[in-house]
Amino acid sequence: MVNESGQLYTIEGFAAALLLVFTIYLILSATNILTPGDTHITDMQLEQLGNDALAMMDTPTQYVETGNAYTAKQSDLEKYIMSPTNANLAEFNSTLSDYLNVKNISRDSLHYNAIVWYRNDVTGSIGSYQFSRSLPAITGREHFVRVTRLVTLSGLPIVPPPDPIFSNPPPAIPPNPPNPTMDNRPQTVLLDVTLWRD
Amino acid sequence: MARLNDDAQWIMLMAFIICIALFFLALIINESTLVGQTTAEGVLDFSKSDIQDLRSEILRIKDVEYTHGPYDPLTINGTRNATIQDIETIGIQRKSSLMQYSIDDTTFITTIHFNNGVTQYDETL
Amino acid sequence: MHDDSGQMSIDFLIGFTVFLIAFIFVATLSSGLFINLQSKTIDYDAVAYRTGVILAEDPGYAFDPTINTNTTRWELLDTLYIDRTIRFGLAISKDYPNILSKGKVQSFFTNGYGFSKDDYKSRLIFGDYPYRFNITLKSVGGSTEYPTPSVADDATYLQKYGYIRRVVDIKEPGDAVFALPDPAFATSPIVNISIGFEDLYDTERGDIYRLRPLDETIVINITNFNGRTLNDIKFNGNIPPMPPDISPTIEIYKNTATKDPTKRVVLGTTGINNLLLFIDPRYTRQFMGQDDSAGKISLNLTFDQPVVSTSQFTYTYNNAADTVITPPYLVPAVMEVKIW
Repeated sequence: MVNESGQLYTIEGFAAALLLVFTIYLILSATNILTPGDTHITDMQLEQLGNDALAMMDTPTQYVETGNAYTAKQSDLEKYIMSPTNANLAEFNSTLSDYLNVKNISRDSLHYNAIVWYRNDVTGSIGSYQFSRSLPAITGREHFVRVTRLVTLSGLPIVPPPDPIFSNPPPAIPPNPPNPTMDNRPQTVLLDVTLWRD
Repeated sequence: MARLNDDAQWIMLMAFIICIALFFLALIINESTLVGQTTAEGVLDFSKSDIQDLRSEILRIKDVEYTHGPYDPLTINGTRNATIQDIETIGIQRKSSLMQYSIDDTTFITTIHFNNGVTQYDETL
Repeated sequence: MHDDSGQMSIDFLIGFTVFLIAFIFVATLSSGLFINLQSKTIDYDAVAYRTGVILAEDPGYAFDPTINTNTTRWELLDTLYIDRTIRFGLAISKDYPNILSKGKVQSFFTNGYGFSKDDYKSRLIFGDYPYRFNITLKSVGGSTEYPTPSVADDATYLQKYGYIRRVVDIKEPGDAVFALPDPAFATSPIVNISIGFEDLYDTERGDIYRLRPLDETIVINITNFNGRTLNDIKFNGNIPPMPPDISPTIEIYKNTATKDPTKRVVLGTTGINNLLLFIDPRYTRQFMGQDDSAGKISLNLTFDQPVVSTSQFTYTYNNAADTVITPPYLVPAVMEVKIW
């Protein structure tokens, strides 16, 4: 009644089943689920936006007839870096913030931190100083993106002394360069902005 | 037995064929999700903004220091060479890319060279 | 020997059952393999990025049958040939990415030619899949000249859409304001405005900051009339078509600062205190050819009484005693592209 003529079928069946289950287990455990962050799509969007914003700030809005060739096509970004007064820094912050965050409906929430890199001609080395950053305190952030822009300066950026209106004789306040190791010559610096979405 | 009973080998063979088919199917499906990833990475890898930035900056330098410059006639070569060095050193140290340019003193013909390891760009204006 | 009794041994059954159970288990599990097949959303972002680049950095491409060559000035094509546009693009030229031409922006967003959505898709988005799009442009400073134009396929978009945002500058051609002298000093009823192409073709300014009369609308504002009547207008000796024949022409408005259709001026209109003229580049091209580095436009407006002394007005980039010129300037704006 019960004989062993089907044993081989049984054994083969078991072996085949094991093979199938093992393969499918391997395949399923190896499947990746990619999030948009993995695909770098958000990075690409942020980087394109940051580069656009800096490029538009580095394009003068009009051509000024008077002055020399530097002031005729001086962009707003060059102006902010050349004379980083409080008023100019506030304007830089509000303009960059607008360019990054204005949307058709509602407003985006991008934050940034801006650093200027320059080269010292005597030593040949690179230095940097903090230029500005977006105002609310940094709480947490997603992955950030770095965008840069080369800016031409006509000399050493200085902060002119405040108007000494209330004293006589006026006190001698020397102008303040943002960084004392910068050269006083026409030079090109790099504005390095890190961007992230809060 | 005189010979092994291999009538059931067909089960084994079918299972094996199905396994291989599943393997290839899974491979194709797995690779399909990389379509979007490589598109975005391709965009990020090509330094379009760097090249546009470098190009517009060099045209600005040509305007300021060559065509209408120089600022200080005493240091004409010093200023021009220093700016060339600025861009080259900043490029290598902060941008990991080689950004070189040269502008002829009289004819103002400009050559731009950019190489970041992935993309190379040469232009003569 | 053949066993044709039709009954299988139990061992075979068990073996085969085990195999079949495992196979059914595998077949059920394999439906989980398809979790990642959402590749359409990843594709949307790539298409949105490409569309953003085409709009912001490419000047467009068309075939112009009137000059029998390809051109980037698709917004200046005659209405008859507008379907010869191959690709839309809003930049003024490929050398100046992110600087948009106002004429192209207006043509693209107001769709005066009556392009259908499929026409937009075949000239902007490309590809076989019927993507839907929503493109908006909003000025950053809140300028009232750009009340957020947009061109959209379906007003409602799904949760998952591809998106890109670009920051651009729109080039405004600027305008000229000519003030007439006191009527006591007026001797001639003919106002002559001279627009010399050599004056405007300033290579120092570059394409971005100079007025290009063959590509951009020339805006002229003449003030300080005292209820005059326009009797005649001549553009280099030609009379431009007057409404209701609105082909490419010079549009004239009175006593307004904007294009108000109720204040349109034709020959014989009375009660003019201010005159606002818009010279369409398509009209200029009809008479001035293709080269904007040489040539001169002489505009003569004849009124019913003496309004001007012997001096003529010239359109250059410099102000004068009776002339205030606003040279071309840039307006920053943000463009968003959504694809789904």
